[in-house]
Amino acid sequence: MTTKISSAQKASISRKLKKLSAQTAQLHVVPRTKSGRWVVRRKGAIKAAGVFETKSVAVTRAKKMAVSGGYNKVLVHGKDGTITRSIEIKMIKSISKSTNKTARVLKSAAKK
Amino acid sequence: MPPKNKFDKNIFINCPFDKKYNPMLRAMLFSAIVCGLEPRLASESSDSSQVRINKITRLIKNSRYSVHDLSRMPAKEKGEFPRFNMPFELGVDFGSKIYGGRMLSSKKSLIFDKERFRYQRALSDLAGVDIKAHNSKPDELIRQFREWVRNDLGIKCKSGSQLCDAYKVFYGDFKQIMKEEGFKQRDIDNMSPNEFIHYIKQWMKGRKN
Repeated sequence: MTTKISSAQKASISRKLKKLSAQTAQLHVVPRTKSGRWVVRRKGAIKAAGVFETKSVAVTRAKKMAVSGGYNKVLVHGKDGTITRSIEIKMIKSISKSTNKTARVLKSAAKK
Repeated sequence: MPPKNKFDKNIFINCPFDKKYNPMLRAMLFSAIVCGLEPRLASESSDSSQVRINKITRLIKNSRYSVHDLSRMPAKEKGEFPRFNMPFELGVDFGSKIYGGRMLSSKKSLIFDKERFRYQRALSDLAGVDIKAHNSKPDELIRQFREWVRNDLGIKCKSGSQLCDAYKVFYGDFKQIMKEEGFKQRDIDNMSPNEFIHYIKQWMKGRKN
């Protein structure tokens, strides 16, 4: 038997789904004030997708995650919490360039 | 190239609608919508005055693309009849391509089975036709479907892994909201494919903003 959903419920689910989808299409790079580390987090998520020592590593990793996870934007926050940079994830070509850059940054971070 | 009109956008999905096949069907619907296609199913209209075969032939006629899944063709138990619906509709689709005139001769199809050469034991006439195997795994189905869309239809779309990840994100969001609205897992499992298509489209709208 198929589930019966009223039109009011259907509209409510659609509205919420649209809103959540727009939110989950963004990844945020935010600072952790106590440890001084940088966190990559999906909006509204409790758990961090990754914790990194420096901001540049966090941003490059966030770009990589955005590509593989199908996110539209990476929003980078400043130390005071305001959004300082917005990176759009669009073309597959630019993605491959950014992943090369990611590899370079991660390599140099590992050396340090 | 993105599809231009309705006929070029429509994809007829010929697959089982049982509970076990639901995760596969849902993954296929999601992939089709993300790739810019419009899934058309025999279950989309519940008008009892319409004869089912007429509904199916109309859908086949109005869809340039089609996906046929033969994985549930064999009988499950001893003494049970095999299911002929899927191979029959595949035959109708094949026929429409040959006898349907100029427009329908441009039709393109994808045939799935559980294992790659299993179909030959029951449908040896299809020998030589390239059939994809999904091993009853939604992720594998998404990847194979994406390959077909990219290579055979020439539609630009995300990579197989990106599609799989996006599907997981969508399903997570969908489940979360359904539970917030007071629905149980059983309700989510029993949701009709058309309802599910509606929610995929809503989610996609949010993604584009």
